[in-house]
Amino acid sequence: MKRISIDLSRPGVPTTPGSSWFPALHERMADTQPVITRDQAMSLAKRVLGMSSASSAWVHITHIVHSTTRLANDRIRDANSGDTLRIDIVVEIGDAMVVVGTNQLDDVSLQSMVARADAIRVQLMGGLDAKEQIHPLFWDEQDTYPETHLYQPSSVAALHSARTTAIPKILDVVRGRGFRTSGFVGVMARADAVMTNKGIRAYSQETDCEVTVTARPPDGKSSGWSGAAARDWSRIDPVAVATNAVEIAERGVHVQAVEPGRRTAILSPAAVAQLLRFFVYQFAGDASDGGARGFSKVHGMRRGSKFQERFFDPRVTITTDPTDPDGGFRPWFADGYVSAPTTWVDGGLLKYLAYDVRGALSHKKPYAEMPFGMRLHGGDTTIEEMIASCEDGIYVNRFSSVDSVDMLTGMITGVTRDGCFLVRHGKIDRPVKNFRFLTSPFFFLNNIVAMGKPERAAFGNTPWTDQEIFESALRGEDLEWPRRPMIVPPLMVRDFNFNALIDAV
Amino acid sequence: MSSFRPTRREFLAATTLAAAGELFRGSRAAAQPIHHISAKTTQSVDAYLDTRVPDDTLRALALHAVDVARQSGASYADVRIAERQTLYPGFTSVGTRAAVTYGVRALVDGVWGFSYGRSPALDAVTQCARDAVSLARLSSQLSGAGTAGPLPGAAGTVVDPAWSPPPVVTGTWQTPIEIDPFTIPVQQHAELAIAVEMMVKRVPGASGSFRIDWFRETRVFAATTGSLLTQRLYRVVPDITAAVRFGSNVIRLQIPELHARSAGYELVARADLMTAMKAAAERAAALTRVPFGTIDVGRYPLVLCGDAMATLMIVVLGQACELDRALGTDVDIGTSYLPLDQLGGAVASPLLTVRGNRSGDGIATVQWDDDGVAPVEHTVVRDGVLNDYHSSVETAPALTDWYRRHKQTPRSNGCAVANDAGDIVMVRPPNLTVVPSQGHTPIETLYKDMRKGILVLTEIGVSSDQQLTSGGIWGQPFEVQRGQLVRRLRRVQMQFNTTPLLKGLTAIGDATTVRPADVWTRKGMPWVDGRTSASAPAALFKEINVVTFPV
Repeated sequence: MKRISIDLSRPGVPTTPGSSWFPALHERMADTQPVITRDQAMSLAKRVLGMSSASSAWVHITHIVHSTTRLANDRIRDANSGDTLRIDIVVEIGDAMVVVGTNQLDDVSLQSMVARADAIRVQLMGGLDAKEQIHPLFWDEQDTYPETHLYQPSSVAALHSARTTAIPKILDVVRGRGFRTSGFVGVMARADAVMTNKGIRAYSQETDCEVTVTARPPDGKSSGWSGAAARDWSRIDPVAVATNAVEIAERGVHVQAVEPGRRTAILSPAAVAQLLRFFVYQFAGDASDGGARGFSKVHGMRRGSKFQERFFDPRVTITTDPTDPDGGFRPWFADGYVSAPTTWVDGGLLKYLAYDVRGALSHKKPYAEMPFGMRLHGGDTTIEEMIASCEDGIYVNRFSSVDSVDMLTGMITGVTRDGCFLVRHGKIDRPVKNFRFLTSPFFFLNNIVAMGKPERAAFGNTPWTDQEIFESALRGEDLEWPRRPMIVPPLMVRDFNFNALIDAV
Repeated sequence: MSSFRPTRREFLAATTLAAAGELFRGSRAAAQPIHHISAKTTQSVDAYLDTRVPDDTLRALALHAVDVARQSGASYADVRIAERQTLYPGFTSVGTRAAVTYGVRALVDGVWGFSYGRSPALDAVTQCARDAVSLARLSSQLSGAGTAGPLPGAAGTVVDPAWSPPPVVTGTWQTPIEIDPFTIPVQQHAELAIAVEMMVKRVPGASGSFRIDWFRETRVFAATTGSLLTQRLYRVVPDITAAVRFGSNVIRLQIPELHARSAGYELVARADLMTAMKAAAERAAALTRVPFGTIDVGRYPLVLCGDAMATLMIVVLGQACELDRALGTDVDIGTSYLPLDQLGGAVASPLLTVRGNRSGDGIATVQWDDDGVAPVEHTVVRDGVLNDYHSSVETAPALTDWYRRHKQTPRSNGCAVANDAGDIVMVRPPNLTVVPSQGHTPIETLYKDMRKGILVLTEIGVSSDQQLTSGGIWGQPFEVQRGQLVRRLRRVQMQFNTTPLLKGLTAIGDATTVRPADVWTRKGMPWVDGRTSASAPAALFKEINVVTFPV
């Protein structure tokens, strides 16, 4: 076959990987700094801004390094590593916005990106007979943010070592008990930066890790799942995760069908987190004020929202805090504005809704990021105590395939999975066939019997749904794995609507 | 390349732009409309794109990667490397992005390793290939040596796939298009969006939504076997709707002809676009006049319009017929209610025939898939009987006996997909076609004799479970009594168990009722997005379970 010579002298193709900004992936992963540093990011952003003739421009940089391993059928199904990079320049003109991006670091690519942005900007300005838009908060100086602890050295090391340390242990535990393993071991390091050519200098770096295990007997007739997620790899115990999954699977053999209906439900933190995924979007201030959410004063009408009104059990308090020790998140949002600690629901009363910067200016409200990393404060009842106090109910280890049905009422549907048990007379009675459910946080957070201690819940395989993609992208949350940490307690609720039986295991 | 889709990042960028536009329009009374734009210049986005990596360079890097993988010890390796441009012109925003990505897949001792990257430099590609081999070797050591994929069947049996590399193939191909969207001046894109909105607004209460995402990608595939393929792929994902809104009374209709597909700018440069938009708005306005009401919980016959049927088929058949799912490859990601022991069995009404292809009018159209295989049209369900699966080189050997029994040559159907060149390769649905009835069966025929039932005339959402055994449908259903629309139903969800639903397919519409739809499907961990398109006629189902919920 004729081989083609590689022309590395062509402008635009760097002759060394990553040019001068940072070394190649394999070198970075061996290093303590796998993602672009603050200095590198600021220098790069400054360089891009210096190429632009726009008087107001943003540069956004995101750099992510992944090391993931997927287990299936007792073996590694795929082991995957690499990095992704995105550099965007954003310019506003009149009523329009221009965003141009690249994933290349060489000067030719960067200059091309800026030239395209400038050229489109000039075209639109000419057509619009408009002047370049100055964002109302564009002139705000902002270069200090709350200190977070999202970036953990143990997780950086785990980018290299997690596979070799965790996988054999997981396989040993599950195989050793005669079950088959599916699972996931993922480690991520990430850096984000925003710079404007006037005053904003935002940078954040973070790590995150997730281990999940599904154990099934060879006949596939029962299933147990367990997961753990943490910013800090050293806080994850893969053996405990695998052991828990096997034990649930062992208890799950010989399932029987019980009638669907409204029953008391005891929900693990992983199950609660799945139920609250869509609850986040109820706090969209613009939509709520416009009559499109459960907090709206009048559905379908722009009459505002029911602040200070009681929607939930008085024990329900929901907060977000970038410095949350069990999770936390980037301390700035959107175009680099500070993401402050916020109380959304206090004692069951609605306290706060999220308005982005433009919406906040329009509505004369304080701006806030959506509560993607929420903490649902809890109580001190253990799951064992919940079971002991339950005369007749269902224990749910995990929900899956949860999707939004109606944003006005917060209705969601989904199925139980990987551990669903009948509770009778204070004990786990038997495994039962899975259910489909239909409920809303506006119902089950009003039917609380008991709450446990909150913890970071693992999501596991929880792809974004269409509704989430639409709502999240609208409000600035990105759609990468892993999902932002959610800190939730186990819950015991009455009258949970298990409305149909399903055949899926 | 296949069911091309914007990456999550690109989609995010696109939707964020659209959202920003909405906010601007909602919050700035003095907003300047873009429709004042005149074509003072004729510069296209292409005019500013001077960093394209030449095809020869992509090919050279790809060949280099597989050479390195072989030298590093891989028994087989392949690489996908691509440069992709995206363009999101809208009412109030323009976004464009260029990216180079690649992924190397290497087989060592029967285990895959995968690594991905973004720098089109020799050293970076070299290291990526070495990383893939190292990961494969490590994975083999950690999980025990094996073959390329001994996959347990759904009944727990072990299927020996007898994996072998795909045949050697070389060539180039381009999506057949008439107009490259990247050569269209930016203003022209914007003016079209404004013109559509203005047309829709002529209908009282109506507003238009016009967003089109354009994609152009040069993708090179190379394998250690000697295969070398270059494809220039064009994709368009339109979201063009007419909505009529009176308070919470909203009807949203899409323009049937404008759906996700492999096409160029000619898709929208059509004479009847404005007429179609206005007609959609008028139809939406008429539907808003149907009064709201409720219905008792229960089981009712159901008629789905073509696009709703297409959406349902993607979710419950398109995904269920992915062969890796059917083989039970990964119980965590999800399996299928159609395992291999169902082959040859009745899984739906005899009225249902569903074909898969990657050559027709859909978004998955390619000349070669991401295994380097030329896809073949296949009938997954014929007259209600499960007949085939969407397969890849890795999974296809599981069907060898089935094919031989039916005097067919064992083959991959060409459904291996890495949505982005840097994504892992998985089986994904091709373009799906549900065969309409041959008789005269307009949609009205399907419900004219209905005493009391449900009719869906607009887009729907469908969720299912991890094995696709059940699901829920939401959208805007209407109640039909004695063949007449009597009310729009609020606060209802339609739930089903898949097999009874499909076996209860009672009638199917004719060719005039065929409509396309496309939906996101997600697979893998971390999950990878994919866009799947289908076309289907309207359909009548015997019954569906309707549940209600309070406000």
